[in-house]
Amino acid sequence: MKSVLKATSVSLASIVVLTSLAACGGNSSNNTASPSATAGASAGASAGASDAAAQVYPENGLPKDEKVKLKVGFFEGGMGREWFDTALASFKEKFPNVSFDVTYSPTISQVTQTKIAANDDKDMFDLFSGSIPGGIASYVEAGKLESEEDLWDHKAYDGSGKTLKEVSFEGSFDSSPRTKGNTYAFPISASGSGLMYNKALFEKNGWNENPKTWSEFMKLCEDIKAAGLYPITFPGVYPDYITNAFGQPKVYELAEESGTLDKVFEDYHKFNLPYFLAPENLERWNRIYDMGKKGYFPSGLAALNHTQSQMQVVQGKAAMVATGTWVENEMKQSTPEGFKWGYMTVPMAEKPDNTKWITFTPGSGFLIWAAKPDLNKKWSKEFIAWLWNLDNQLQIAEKGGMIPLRADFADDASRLAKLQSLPSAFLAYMKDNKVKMDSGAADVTLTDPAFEQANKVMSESITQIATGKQDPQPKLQEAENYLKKAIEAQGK
Amino acid sequence: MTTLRSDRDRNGQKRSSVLQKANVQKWIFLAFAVVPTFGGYLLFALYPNVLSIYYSLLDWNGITKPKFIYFENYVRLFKDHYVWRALGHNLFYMATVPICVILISLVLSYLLTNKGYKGTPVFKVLFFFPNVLSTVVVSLLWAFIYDGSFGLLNAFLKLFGIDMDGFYWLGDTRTALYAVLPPYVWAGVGLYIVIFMNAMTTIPKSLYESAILEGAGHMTRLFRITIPLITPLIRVSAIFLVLGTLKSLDLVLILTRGGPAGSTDVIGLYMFNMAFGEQVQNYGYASAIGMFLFVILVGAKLIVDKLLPDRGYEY
Repeated sequence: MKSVLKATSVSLASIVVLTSLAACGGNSSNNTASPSATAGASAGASAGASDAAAQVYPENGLPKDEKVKLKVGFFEGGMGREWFDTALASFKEKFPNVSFDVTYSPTISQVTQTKIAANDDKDMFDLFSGSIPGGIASYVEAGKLESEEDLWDHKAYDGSGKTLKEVSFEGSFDSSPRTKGNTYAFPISASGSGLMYNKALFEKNGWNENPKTWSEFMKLCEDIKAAGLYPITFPGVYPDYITNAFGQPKVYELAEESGTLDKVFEDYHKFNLPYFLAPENLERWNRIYDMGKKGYFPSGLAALNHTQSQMQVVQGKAAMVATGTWVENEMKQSTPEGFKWGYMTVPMAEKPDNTKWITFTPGSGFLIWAAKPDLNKKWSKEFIAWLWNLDNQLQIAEKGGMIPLRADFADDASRLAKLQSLPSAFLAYMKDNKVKMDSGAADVTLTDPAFEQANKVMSESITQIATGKQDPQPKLQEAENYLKKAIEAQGK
Repeated sequence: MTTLRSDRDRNGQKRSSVLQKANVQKWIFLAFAVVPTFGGYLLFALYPNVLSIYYSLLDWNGITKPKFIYFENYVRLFKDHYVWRALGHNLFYMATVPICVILISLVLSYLLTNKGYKGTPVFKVLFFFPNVLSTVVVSLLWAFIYDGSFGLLNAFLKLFGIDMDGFYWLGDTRTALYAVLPPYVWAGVGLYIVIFMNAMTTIPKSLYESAILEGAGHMTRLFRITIPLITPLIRVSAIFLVLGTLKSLDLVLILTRGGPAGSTDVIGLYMFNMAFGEQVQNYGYASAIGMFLFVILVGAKLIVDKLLPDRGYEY
């Protein structure tokens, strides 16, 4: 009995050790194996040529009889997941050979990053939202991500033969973020940035909800301040949030007024110097500094997180918050019944008819991992195109609180009425004003640490400038010096 | 005679085979005991750390082809004023957190051990409670305490006629660095109270009785009997706290993200941002900062060794 026990325990222990070693060492062999048990094998196999036509979907030419399982990493953020689950269900119903294995997480980018670090393409997601910490530029450079630029020419499933580019909302194609000239996270919705406010409070006080010039805007801030509220707040713990109201498009707005738009636009897209010290940029920061000195931002700004700053607006301590149109969905649990958000952008020019430049970000897209089997990648793209169906766009707008990207969305009044108050206010603002949109993204990617340091200089200065404690000029100079270093290092 | 010898041979063979078996079993046991932990240490601690030395010589973002740049990252590091600023903050926390934690823990554990309060077990649990909370919870709790509009601290100060309404303790460069200190201490004290209390209960009562007979008060007993007898434990605690404070970044990351204006930036956070930055990922430079931190940690350990000599008393 004793020897049996001994033999059993030794065998068990050996199994434990061997399996541990196998687990540790199995990675490389897995990588060389066929990519996917389900789709990989099917991707490699070719269907018979004769009955191929009968075996493919007429909508996209993909095989009906080859089962594909897509691994999806889903960012469960402010948009929630209801819209996604609905789209998933209708896609599976339409294409029953495609199934999904979805990982939902509010921190999906960390899961994605861990999977990337594990260097196991088989285990990696086929498509994933939430991007990758640090940006996608280096992954694009390394060929790890699939370009989705061709999706712009993909015919919309319900677009009467029109391509996604043709059915898209004006400005979506141009302002979509691109890396090395290609779209990598094909947008499925959009968000607009600016100042969001409590509409009822503005109406009650008779405050100007659509200031057309900088002077009118300053008058509005003065009125608000006189009423005992902070005119503008934002989460100073994440100081870059100020760019939602005073972002790069505002530099273009100032440039347009001074007649230097083309040059500034080119310089900002290509990181031509002077960048931080460009006169229009200096003017932008000086205006923020002046506002800071007048006490238009809360003094404890630097300690505010998203919830605290947004709650200041909900509770009537501040009038406007610099954020995006997603805030309505984000705060829906904390806003009282019937709370209506209003939208405005900061007018930088003095002529009322001048263009208002707005940060408009087509986004919420899914990245596709390039090392996946071709069939998986094709189905991934089909799923992204599926999300452009009007039904799904409605779900994205209604449940996710985002701005739809389909221009024909507004054709149906009942559909339009289902938009949440903020996307609706955003669209109304665009209708009532001369507006141009830009994502603020550059065409060039800088990878030297000096670039991170340049951004750090500005990022650390923002709350100090906005509270009137720091003159922006020396900080802009410091940032410019770092940027120069980064550009030189890149050119080596 | 022959039978006797063969019996002895048989016994000898039996004994040697038993010994051999025991020897093999001993090695198997040792292998099972050591290999998994040592293997884990090699794989998950030593190997990545040694690899970091190599990474620190690269211009590499973790994805693209690495470029060997010799000591360029180190040259950059020594010229980088953000590193020195962050290190200054680390040194401030290193100099204050361990002292505060150890002093408060010692006093509280002495009182709980020797005063014989009725609620000692409850206090013990209460003091230990922050240790079972995650850093996120601790940080959010303190963010609420320091809130300018609804914070407990401002409300408390108001009771004494000090009106700080609207003042955000974490939002001002003059106070943020110091405001991060209490959460560190609060979250650290409980564990050391438990450790010190257990050590204090092992000190013979007779020592205190003789001291009392000779007229020694509480302070004399604490500083002349208790602390000298648990010095080795205090020394180890000091090392843990110093190294832990130097390395930590989680509390700062959640509370202030190094702000306002970098006034609470610590080296671990700066390294983290360089490795996983919003705009740039540079594992090479981050590894160089990591190596620098390693040297600082070793230095700190040696300083603690020097300041707190390893002497113990037998009792």
